[in-house]
Amino acid sequence: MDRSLVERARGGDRDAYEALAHSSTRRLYLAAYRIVRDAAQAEDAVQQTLVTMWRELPSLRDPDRFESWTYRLVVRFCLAESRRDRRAGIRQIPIDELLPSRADDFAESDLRDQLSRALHDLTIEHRTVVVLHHYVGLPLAEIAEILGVPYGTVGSRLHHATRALRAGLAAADRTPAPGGQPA
Amino acid sequence: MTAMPDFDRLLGAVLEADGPQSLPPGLVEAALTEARTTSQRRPLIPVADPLGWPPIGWPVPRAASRRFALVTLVALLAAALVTSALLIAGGRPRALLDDGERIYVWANSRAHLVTPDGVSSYAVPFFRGDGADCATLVRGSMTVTRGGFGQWHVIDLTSGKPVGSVSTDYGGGERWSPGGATLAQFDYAGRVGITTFVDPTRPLTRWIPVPGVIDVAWSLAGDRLAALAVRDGLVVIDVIDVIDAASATVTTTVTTLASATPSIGWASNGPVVEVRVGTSVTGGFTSTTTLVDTQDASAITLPGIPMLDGQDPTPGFGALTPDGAVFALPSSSEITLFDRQGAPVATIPTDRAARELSWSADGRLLAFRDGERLVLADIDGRIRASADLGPTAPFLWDRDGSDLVVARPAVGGALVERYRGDDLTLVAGIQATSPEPVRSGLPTASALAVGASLPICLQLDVEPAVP
Repeated sequence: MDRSLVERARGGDRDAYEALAHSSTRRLYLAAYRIVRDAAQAEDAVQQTLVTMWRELPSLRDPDRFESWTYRLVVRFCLAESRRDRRAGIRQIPIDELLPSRADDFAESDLRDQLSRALHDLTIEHRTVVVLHHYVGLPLAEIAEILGVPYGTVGSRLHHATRALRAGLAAADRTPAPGGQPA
Repeated sequence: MTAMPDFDRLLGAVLEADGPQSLPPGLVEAALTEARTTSQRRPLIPVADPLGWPPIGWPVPRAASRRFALVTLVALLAAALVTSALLIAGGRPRALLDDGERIYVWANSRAHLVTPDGVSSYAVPFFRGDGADCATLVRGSMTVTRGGFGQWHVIDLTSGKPVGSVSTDYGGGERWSPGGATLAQFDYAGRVGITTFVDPTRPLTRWIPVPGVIDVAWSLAGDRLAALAVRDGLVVIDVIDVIDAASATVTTTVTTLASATPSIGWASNGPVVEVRVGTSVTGGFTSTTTLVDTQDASAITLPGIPMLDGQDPTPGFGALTPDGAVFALPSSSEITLFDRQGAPVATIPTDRAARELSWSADGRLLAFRDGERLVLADIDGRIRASADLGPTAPFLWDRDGSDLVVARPAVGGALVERYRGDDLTLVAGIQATSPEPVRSGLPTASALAVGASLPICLQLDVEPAVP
């Protein structure tokens, strides 16, 4: 990330901000989608993040923390979107779940499908940690900072999420195939 | 069993593949469009105690908001209890102050604690006691008094000693929030400082950059500060949210700078501020009022009022009804009532330029000072009642907005009175005796009643005692 770009945007330079927004949106959107697993919610979260980014840039003390700061914003809005849905009693079912697994050249395609479903069954708090650690590639300490929770809590969430994903895979492994035999 | 050779790699691959790889069209543009119409928020800059923020005295803003709501609720309940007590006691003149409730009086460089059954007196160093520098109750027995140019001192009234101080030697101006909990000041370097007295012995000042600031005004609730600034030849308004410790700019084109002297005030406790611009013309100036909604930056400019040099003093700021439906704007000989669209709907004739306009809580009655009279008018412009006040006695609506409380000079002290809000019938009064000798016939008191059922701050601007 261009530090000078952040500093200019922080000082109110709209051109610099727009350049930042264009360069940040893809990574934010892809992370947001994987957290909320819904395109519309991810778009809302990212749009709110971009607007908030502009409004609150002056409060960013260290320009080098820009990337981490934007993840914090997008995670906050993802969680808010999710809470709103929970209050409304909405359960999103990705269209992918209703379709047969896509055939591709990946060796573990069935495992991928099962893992994807297991991911969907995680709580959003656990899924957020998984996405930030395994997809975005952030260390636990930075995730703790982004989520505003202790380091130990992040470790605990990741542990429980991983265990749930492994258990999901194992359960799928034991699911009887249509012929009565284990898959 | 299916092999799981590398769980982390598998999970990473799933996450990588499990979702869109590109952006939906229009995603960025929609956000940028909204961002373009949004102002940046600027955080306050700590200069005194970086750990002491936020200003109201709670550890984090979110907790502050909750605590603020709790305090407000308690205050409302207390006000309701007092109102109930007054209603139950109705039918005869009611004491404004219960036994044990205290009045603070300042006279001749000394602060005095006055109780219904006695007087205590403490010497207060540094206090000058001139006009608008009426001391402000901070909390309990603490007060703030001006100690000289560029200095305010926190005084412990139980000992009479200064325990803290605030420097205001920055040249722009200073404004106390309603109720006196917070002090705002601004300087010519483009900063607004907000000083709080959570710990009265350690006043805390935070600075927020507001380039070009030339005036500030507190909202009636004391939670927001409107800062008037001139940037690139245009008058703009920054609204500082004191609770959130941030500001946002409401860009508005009130006027160009040429020969204009703008000032600002809140038109009500809502989002509307009143920007008054005096533009020089031959033999006087034209006073133009613009109402700016700080939420959506919409503005209505009312017809200019010509003011000739040597005429009455400049009329005071106008007042907007609590529901924002009617704005009362004084001129030298009348008050004009305007509707939401800025169209005049009624006029109230006045003898002098009206000042201190304020609406009752229900927005039906307008109280204002006309020369030495307190006048009460309907929203349709009909005058209902008036009472002689004297030249300097201030008044205000009480907490529930139904009665008017007046503090006026009296022989040997000041008289605090309660008038019924619909016909100005006197319903209660209390004599606040000045503990210092006041020569009969000479008291020219100015007083500030903080609240009818709360401790009352009185400043008596009296002649020094003759030895």
